[in-house]
Amino acid sequence: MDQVSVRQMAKEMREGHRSVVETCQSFLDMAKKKNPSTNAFVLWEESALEKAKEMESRSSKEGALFGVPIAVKDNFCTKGLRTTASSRILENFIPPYTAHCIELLEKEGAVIIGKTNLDEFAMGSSNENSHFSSCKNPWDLTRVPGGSSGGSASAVAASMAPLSIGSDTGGSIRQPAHFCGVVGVKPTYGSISRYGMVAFASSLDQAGPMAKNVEDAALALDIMIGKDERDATNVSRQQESLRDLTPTNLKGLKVGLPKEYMTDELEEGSREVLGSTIEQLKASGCEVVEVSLPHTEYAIPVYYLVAASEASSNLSRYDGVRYGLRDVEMEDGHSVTDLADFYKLTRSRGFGDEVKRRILLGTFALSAGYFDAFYTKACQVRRLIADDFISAFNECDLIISPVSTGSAFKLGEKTDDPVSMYYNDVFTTPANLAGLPALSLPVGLDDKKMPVGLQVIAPSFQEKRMLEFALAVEKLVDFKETPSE
Amino acid sequence: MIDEKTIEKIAHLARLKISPVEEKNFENHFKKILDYFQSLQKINTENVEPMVTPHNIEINLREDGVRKSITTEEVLSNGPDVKDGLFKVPPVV
Repeated sequence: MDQVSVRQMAKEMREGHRSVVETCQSFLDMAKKKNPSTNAFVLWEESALEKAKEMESRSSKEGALFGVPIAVKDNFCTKGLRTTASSRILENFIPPYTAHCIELLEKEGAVIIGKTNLDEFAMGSSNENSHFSSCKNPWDLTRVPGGSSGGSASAVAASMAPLSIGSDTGGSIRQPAHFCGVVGVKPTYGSISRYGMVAFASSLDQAGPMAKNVEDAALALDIMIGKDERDATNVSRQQESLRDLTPTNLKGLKVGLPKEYMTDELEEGSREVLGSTIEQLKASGCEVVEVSLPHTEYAIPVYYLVAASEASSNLSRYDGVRYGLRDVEMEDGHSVTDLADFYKLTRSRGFGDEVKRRILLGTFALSAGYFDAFYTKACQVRRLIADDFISAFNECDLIISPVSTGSAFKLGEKTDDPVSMYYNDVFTTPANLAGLPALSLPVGLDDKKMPVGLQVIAPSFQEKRMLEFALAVEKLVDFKETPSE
Repeated sequence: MIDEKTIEKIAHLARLKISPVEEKNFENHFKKILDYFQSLQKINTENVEPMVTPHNIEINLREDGVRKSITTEEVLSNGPDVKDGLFKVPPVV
């Protein structure tokens, strides 16, 4: 299968040395062959080949992603193409508009080949909470691909698409990237417009790319960053161009390793892989210093309180009136006559268990009598977590850490215990709470032959510094393994 | 703090209908989650300004003017029940 970079692929198609139609067809063939086992895609874009044909016939071929097939997480609205957020409540939703960042990618010539699986409304760390059933990890089909962008990670890992788009609210790009051995980037909060991305927790949600290598992810990210007045939290671009990156000179670079992240909960296999990467960094002249993020242990309760509170408010829009599922038949067969029941029936039949659990948790945290003790308290501790990073960045240029407490776990292993599932996100949620850019980059395989990623966190808007370092690490570790499936 | 009655009350506020089995399940999970969340109470947050959004982003409001948006047809295109350019709902009084 095609292993050339996205940048190279686009260049060849622009110059007419590579066929847009054949490229699209070969990825679609691979995707359709592997989808029965991975369940990465929940919908094909049937007009992809037609679009490829039209592009092939153009006299002027332009765009940094000209003809590049992409897979889009199914919580990004795509005009005329069903968008479900893997929820029954949106099972038949056909958006009348396209998400801003997807529009930007299409403007540069990207061709959407399908929509990918996710945990319902991006709520989950394993892709097991999907109305369209679990997605699987191509490295081992008995294991989860991570979540919530499991489908997008699985698609890139299995070469079903050279590039995919995910969203990250508490680690939903980085953790699946780590589980599936691909690169996943979450930019600084406010960089990419959230317009058209199905809202989960608006103060945390950011879109981002997933790819086989750092350069491809950086190119896609560069395109996705853009000013859009339809998202009031979207800021004017502050990042330098991410298109022509030079690997950082590791000599003299100071990276911080948070002592709170090297806990006993970290699996031995991950510890070994990361340890050897750190040794390689040191051998290259990089200074690895211990830093402290003292409020790390509170990140999970803070994250889940903030995210659930925002979700309970955001998801109140699913009321069965204007779009989505409407289910008004009572158990006795009669139609509903009470307004509260009208909402309740639709919502209870449309949402899955985890979504209901988080809506209830958020409603509780925001309700009279508990607001200050839970929501306000969580927001205060959120500031302490963000302040920890400000102090740490006084002592280092970048922070490196594990992405999760271990590599991909087995399907079903954690579904009965929400707290243990939530704990998986302990190293990824702090960057969302603080709004910082962070990425996951594959650095090795553990004793289970599963990929292990390294997380890199940078100060706000320092995406270039973060990606150039990642480029240097990528060269250094030279991770070449590919999944068997 | 969390009992059946609280779950029922929250479920009503969230406009969710919860079956008795789900209620028991949620109650157990809720207790576990909230116990875990109690750890926050021991942190001193006196004089800490709550952070509701990352790094003091200026809110960028666009100019308030008339502009083109999607059409009425498009707005109504996903309506579960539509009549005469309006969303239709069952009579509820």
